[in-house]
Amino acid sequence: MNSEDVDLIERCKKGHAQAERELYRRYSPMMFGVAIRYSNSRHDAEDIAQDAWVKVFRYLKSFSENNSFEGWLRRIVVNTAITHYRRQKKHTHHLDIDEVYATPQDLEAFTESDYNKEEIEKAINALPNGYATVFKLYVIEGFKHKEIAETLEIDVNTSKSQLSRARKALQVTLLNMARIAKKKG
Amino acid sequence: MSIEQFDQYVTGMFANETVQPPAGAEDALFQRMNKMRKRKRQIQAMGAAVVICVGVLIGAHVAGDSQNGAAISTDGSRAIVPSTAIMATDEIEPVPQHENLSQPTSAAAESDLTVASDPPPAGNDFSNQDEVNLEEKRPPLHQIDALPATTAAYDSGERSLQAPEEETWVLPAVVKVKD
Repeated sequence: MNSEDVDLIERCKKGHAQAERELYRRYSPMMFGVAIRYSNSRHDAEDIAQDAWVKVFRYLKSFSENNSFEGWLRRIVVNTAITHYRRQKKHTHHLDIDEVYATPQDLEAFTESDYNKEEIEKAINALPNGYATVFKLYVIEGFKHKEIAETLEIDVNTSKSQLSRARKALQVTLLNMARIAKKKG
Repeated sequence: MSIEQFDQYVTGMFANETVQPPAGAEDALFQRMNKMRKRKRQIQAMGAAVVICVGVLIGAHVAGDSQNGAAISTDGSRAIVPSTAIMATDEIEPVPQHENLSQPTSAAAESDLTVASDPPPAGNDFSNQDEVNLEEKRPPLHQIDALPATTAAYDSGERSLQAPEEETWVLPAVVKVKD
């Protein structure tokens, strides 16, 4: 963490309104990007990001400068998004792809140059919420299985198995998308 | 592509990803924050006011009780003795006389202790110090002279009864002398 951030955080801790706005402008694009990743719509992402910022300013006094500020913010957004997701869990529907498994041939056929970011994102969002959340937390946010288990209130082994299934399901989804694209082409 | 390569590929895609929030999001957030802080301050002020009111009420209640107590005691309907009055009586109460003797008693006890701590005298011999002690314990002669006259008369009468008859004793009990 650079000295500018340390100074800005100190001024925010003292309650300087201008410093709070400056902190928001500096980190809100990152926060909103994470919020969008864990929400179903842009409107939900706005709610998640706002709730997360309220938590940030409420608990900023407990933040220690020895830790990564960006990591701390990212964790707050993720936790807020998961809480938001749990509230809406009853209203969401997703495909059950427990029976979809990637074969070794599928994995070998998969090459990174075949897909761009939007396609990967689309494939991740097509996963069941449980798989997608574990995959994003582990692969994109860099959480450990223990942290994922604590965040999602699941067993560590469940986190590992969900990640394994998520990877396979994602690769199968991407291969299917490639096949459909070839047929169209 | 291995699993690790796939993970790295995806991680690289989303690293440092930023999305600009909508324009009104900042103002909406700080308006919400201001409302929350204002509400928090109001709650704190109300809490402080409640604490002060409770304190004032308790103080007034205690003060009212003490005033009521004084009024009743003057009427005589309730026997409430103020603590200051108790203190005053304690001060007026005379000190018992035996308390005045405590110092000599303790001194005597000390002297007894010193006597007891002394080694016992050999045999039944009286030392000069014992005689001095006996002299001190013996009442002075002027005190014996001041004894009641009845006792002296009784003594003299008893002696007069014994004088004429050498072997007859006038006592409450009957004494028979053989031979």
